[in-house]
Amino acid sequence: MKKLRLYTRIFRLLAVLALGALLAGWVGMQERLDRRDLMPQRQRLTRWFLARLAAALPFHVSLHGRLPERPMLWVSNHVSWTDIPLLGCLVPLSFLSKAEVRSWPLAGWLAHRAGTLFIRRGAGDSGLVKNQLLRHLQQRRSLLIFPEGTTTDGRSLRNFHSRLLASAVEAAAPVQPVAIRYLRDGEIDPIAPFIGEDDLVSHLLRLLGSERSTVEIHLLPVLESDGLSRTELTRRAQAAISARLFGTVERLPEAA
Amino acid sequence: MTHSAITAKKTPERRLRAERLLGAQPLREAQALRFRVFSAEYDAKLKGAELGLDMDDFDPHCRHIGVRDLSSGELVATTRLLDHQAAAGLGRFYSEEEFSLHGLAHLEGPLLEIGRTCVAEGYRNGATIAVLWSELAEVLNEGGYRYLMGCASIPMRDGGVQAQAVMQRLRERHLCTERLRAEPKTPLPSLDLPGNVTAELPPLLKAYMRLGAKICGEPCWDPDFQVADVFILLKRDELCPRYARHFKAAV
Repeated sequence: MKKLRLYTRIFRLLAVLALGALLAGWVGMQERLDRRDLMPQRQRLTRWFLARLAAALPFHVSLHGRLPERPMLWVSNHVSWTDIPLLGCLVPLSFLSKAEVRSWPLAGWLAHRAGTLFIRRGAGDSGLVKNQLLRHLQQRRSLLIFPEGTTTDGRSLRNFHSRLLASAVEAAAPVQPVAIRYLRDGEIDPIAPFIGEDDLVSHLLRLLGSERSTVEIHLLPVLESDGLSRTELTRRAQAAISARLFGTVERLPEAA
Repeated sequence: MTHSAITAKKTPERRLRAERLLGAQPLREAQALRFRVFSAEYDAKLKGAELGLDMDDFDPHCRHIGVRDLSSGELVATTRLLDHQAAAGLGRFYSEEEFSLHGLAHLEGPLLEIGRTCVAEGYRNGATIAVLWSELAEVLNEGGYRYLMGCASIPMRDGGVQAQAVMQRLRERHLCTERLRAEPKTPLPSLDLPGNVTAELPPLLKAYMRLGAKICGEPCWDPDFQVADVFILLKRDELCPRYARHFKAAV
């Protein structure tokens, strides 16, 4: 029975991915023909695709708080690649990802086609990335970043990189802090986190082979960035997320 | 507006008292509070706006109740009640502006409709609602009403994601069309949200469901208020005993 469920889930996921590839290819072709910026359309299609993908994952998602009504810089803690479809299915969003993802088979190409911005760590292109983020926000498009820079097992929160939030300050864009928590039988889920040396396929098989678990998405009160320094904005976002995840304020970043 | 769960936090210095709003002056106060809440937060197009009031043709036919903060003398919550007799005189219930109510004629027993509930900002907690409901319970008891019906709203200004996610939860646990089926006159615009996403209920809706209320169908889209209105029905015999104490002597 469990085997059958696994195969059904895999089949469904593959079908969704194939559909995504078709869509991405189609948008790419249109762009080459039109030479127009199709970002709004890309964001909408991406949301639609991520909704299909989120539905194919064995989660029950429970939303807390209110979705923002205007474009924002979304700032979330990061546990797994599944954060992306689960958050991205809610509103049209673009993403910032580490450069390695670009080389992942299929997923990398899909992310690229969805308009994801890629960042190389320590390659000194943070100025370039900031400008890209800024341009995005100035065009009033929502953007999601994971300022921890990497995933955790959901039991802690790393220090946020305040540089990534500089674009919000400069664009005077509000920040939507998000706390995402994976729970299995009421405890922190040990299967959902995608960390360290995990590879995508084995993680996926492990996930699809297990029982449906719960994901809580907490949309915390919006932070206005007006008049704040990026470190202060970062501190507030981190404090809010930490307080929601752990009920306490974790160690706050020193001025970065 | 806070979306946290309703908690029974009481501010010690705050003294709240329920009252019936009888006469022209108290009704004005209720209409002014409604105007403040609905126009400021829902940006709604309201009749009577030029007077700073929210008023309509139903008001003169309804009983109005409210909660007053005794330290400031301000009215901080209000709702209005329309009973089956008044509705018969008017030819319709207020909810019938948004829903076709199938089976209404077969619903046995006196019926009370609640509507246009609002609570001032800063008072949106379980304590205020409990005080308001204690008065509602008395009205229910006095009139021997068997059913309470009305609408509760879900904000739609996010484009409808929250409303869809709330509905996915409500459909799972609280849908019952056996006695009454409410068919919305303007259904929600369709939206592609994964079926496994649900959202926390807004405070008032959550309070109703805890009492044992059922929803009777899909919500009606109200573009003026930018909300989705869900039709709810509460049978007095089925009040959830655990929460009914908030309702004082209702059972």
